[in-house]
Amino acid sequence: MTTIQARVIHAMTIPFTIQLSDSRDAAYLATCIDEITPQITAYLQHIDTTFSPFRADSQVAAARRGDWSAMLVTSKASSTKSGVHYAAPPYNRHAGQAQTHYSQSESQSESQSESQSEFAQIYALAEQAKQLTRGHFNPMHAGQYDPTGIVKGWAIERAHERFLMPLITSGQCDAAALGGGGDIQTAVADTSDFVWRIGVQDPANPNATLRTITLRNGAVATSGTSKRGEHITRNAHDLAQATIVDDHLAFADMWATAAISAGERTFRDIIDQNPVAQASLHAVLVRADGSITQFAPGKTAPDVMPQTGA
Amino acid sequence: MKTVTRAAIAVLAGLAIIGDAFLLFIKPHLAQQAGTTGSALASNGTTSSGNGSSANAQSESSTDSNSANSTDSNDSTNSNDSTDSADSSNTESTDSNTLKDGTYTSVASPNAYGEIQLQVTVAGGKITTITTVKAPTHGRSQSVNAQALPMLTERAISAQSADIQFVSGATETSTAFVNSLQDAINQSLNAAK
Repeated sequence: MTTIQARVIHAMTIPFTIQLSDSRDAAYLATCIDEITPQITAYLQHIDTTFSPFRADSQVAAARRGDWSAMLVTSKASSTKSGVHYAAPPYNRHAGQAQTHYSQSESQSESQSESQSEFAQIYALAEQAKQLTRGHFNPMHAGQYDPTGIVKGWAIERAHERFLMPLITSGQCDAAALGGGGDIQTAVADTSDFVWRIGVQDPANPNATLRTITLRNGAVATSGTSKRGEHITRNAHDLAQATIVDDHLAFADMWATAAISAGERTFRDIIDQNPVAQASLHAVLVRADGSITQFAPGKTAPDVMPQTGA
Repeated sequence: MKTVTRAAIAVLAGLAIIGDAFLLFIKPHLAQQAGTTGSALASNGTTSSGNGSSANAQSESSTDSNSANSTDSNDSTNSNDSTDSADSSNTESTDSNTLKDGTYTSVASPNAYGEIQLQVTVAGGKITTITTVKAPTHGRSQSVNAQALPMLTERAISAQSADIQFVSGATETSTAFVNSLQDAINQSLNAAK
């Protein structure tokens, strides 16, 4: 019988939910999740320490004071408090030359970007997000650098990849997901037929869901008018909530934010003109009047929208 | 006698609290300060050697750093650093707080939507400009798992529905988590054995 274990972490003023699923030994699953939970907690705290604009000792706060030196710090393991560590940048060509590891469970696909500091990775991602969304995602807020809007989704995606994927690839569980503040990254082992089911919250009633998204490997993010720490500068006000399904949470989160900022028409236009987004995104959009519209890959134009609610 | 004992205990407790506070709040701070100055001083002595490869990696973009270094070195904490800096003998130490002048180009980290490369310019030991040198290219990167394509089911689900594991919404915060839909789901999952 398939069992699911859930644990909750509170970090960055957000509740994070870890879930592991397996059809074999329920007791082992509980042990497994209790082992991984403190590691994810430590990682999230480390991310908060690094990026919170509200902490005077964070790298973002330093950047706001004009000290951008975190750009050139290699991402040093920080399971222990490592002092500020300036290494000769392992920048340029060979990423492998000064490899540092955050933890033992380092996945291979991450190794390339690992030589960049996390601060630099977020800076690059925020720049990319700004370009992809035609400025509707913007890491500058009120004249100051504030990558908060992209950090959470990215952190969940990274934590999922670092701590939960190894459990799947090593056969310790069938499926693993990590959610935080309503954004979720999921995965399922190839050998399992498990499917994650995610409800899209009704912005008018937090205890109700409007749609259910089923997926195995992917990410779901929702942005709305009431989301905290996102500083969405709105150019349109026709959407009350945007839920996006993409492969990676950092991007799902980015698109959801952009949808709220840009409004439905501009957002559809942006997606239409981005072949990657056009081919992969699902969206559930709740309009200001409460009506729901959605799109699936390759079908972003409003006229082929299935009418909802019926 | 009793009052004397009480007073003695109170004094002891007070001293213990003060001692704890000192150890907890003040001493680590002092130690940290000592630590940073120590490493900065130590880095004056420890030049190059092991850093040869990384020095080469950056030398191509900082060929003119020689003159820049010697003029700017007064700003930095390690004034000894660059006085003897010949072209490629690197003054950079892994413990140094001073960034070597020059232009650093980051390793591009490609993702599904393209890649971004950053160019960081260091002058006078400080990062002065950061520029994006490569715009994202539209091209799906390698492996897209067939399983990764999600499906939308067009059915609304009631709040009490037991068959969802996560709620995606815009309002979830720690303060409002207790008794939230996600909280209820988590609890019912853990209860089901």
